[in-house]
Amino acid sequence: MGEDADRIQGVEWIRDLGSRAASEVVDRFICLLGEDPRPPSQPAGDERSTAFRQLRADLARAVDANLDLVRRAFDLYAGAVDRFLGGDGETDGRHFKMPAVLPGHRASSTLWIHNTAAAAASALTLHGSDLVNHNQNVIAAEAWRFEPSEIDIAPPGASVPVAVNLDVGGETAPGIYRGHVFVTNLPGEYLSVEIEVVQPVGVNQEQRWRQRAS
Amino acid sequence: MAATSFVEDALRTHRDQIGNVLTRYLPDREPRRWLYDLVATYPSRVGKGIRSSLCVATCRAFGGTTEEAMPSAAAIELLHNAFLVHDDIEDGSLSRRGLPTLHRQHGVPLAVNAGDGLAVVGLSPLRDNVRVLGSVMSERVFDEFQMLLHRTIEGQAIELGWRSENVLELSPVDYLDMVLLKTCSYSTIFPLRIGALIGSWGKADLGPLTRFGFYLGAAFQIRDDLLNLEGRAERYGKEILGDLYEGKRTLMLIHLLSVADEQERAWLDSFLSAARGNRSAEQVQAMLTMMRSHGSIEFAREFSKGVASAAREAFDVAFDGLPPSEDLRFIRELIPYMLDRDL
Repeated sequence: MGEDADRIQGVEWIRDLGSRAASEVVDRFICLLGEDPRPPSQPAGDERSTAFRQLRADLARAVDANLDLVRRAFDLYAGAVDRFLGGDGETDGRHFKMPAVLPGHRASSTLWIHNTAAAAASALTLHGSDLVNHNQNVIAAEAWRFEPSEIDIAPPGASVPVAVNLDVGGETAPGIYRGHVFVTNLPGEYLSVEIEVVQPVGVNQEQRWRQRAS
Repeated sequence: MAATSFVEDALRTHRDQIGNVLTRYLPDREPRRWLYDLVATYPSRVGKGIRSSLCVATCRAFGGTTEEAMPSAAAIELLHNAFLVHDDIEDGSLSRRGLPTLHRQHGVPLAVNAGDGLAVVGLSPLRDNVRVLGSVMSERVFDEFQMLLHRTIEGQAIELGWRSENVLELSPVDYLDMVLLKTCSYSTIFPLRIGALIGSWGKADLGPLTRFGFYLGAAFQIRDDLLNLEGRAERYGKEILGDLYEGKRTLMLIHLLSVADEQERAWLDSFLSAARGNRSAEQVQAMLTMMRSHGSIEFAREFSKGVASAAREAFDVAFDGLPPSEDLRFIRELIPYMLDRDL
């Protein structure tokens, strides 16, 4: 009888040890997670709030879907604006790359000018700088032609197209030329410009044949 | 309907659902022979599916839907299988779910890589959570998964470290600390937390669920360790006495180390410092006899009953106030199902 009582007491002691040790361990873990280890004063499930649960879930998904739609629309619009600003050249931010041109020919492109001022902009003119290559060869600023020569952009934020032409002289050395295009009265609106003057294909062969013939 | 039958039916239904979902995530492309066939091996061996079922049932008990919980449940199942592949290698285990372990079938290098593959595949469902739950809730669920993964590998490191350095001075609290991280995190605590987070749409108090999950998982682990010594091989699915061959720091071994006399302790020290391959069947039987004679098995059994009793009380707090449902019944009846099996 005494042995049985001791045994039962021992069993109870071990079970209690298990319960207490586990409680100690999990209390520490819950604190590490930054949560309260004590039992909540409110029950876990509140039927009033669970009734609205599906509504909250649907709303969260709807907001997410709409934000995604707005983000996609913005990307689409930004892409379109980016392409328009580049005209038939290529723009990368404030960099404008004109199509390559042969010496003695005209390079043409379209540039969209955006009114970044708060008010309507009128009597705007474009002017370009000298273009210089790595060997200090120069295409003079006078080679630029802009059509129309003067533009008005009535609403702030609007854009207008301008035809950009560059007359490259016949003696211009091949190479990549760089310079800038500015807009009067719009100090924020300027572009760095790049154009490649290419060597006509076949020139070298023709020169070599002439040398052989002579 | 008997409780066990109810739980087993519910688990079977869930296994069919999750099985279909897992198939979608398992890549069907080359290289099959050296990777994707191996990746699919453990998920295709029928397990109980308790972890993913717990996640889905908790979500539904808190008011959510199966569809909302399914990507997270799939991730839990895939990551669980990834852990098993690497655990089996680290432990030198011979069988898993009644068949040879992956590294025994294909060699360690291919099995390690397949385990990595399963972990990578396990991330795909979390990406799908964005579509199902929206970005804000998905981020919260992802945070839970990140904690789950960290805690699990920390627990595994502690257990491997104990064995690697032949640590003998351990207490039941040390054991529970390790089990919380290594087993309970991904088996019970985080499946419950993630299910409740989604089901209540962030409103549930996760502390009581953590407590319930730990008690349930810890009691389950001790029972599992006991089954390794006294269970039937055909039902257990793993190698009987494998824990003794591996020198695993179970509650029984920790108890034995604390009560053994000087001579027995020296013998245990020598046995545990040897490589697994150098431990003989006779030595393992001698250790089992020592555990029986010192009451270590009885100690662990009663200790687990104390933890199981705490689990039953914690269940009432964790799910207090929820409307009655089949899912709530499933979770409640999972307690005896997990804790009273085959002992």
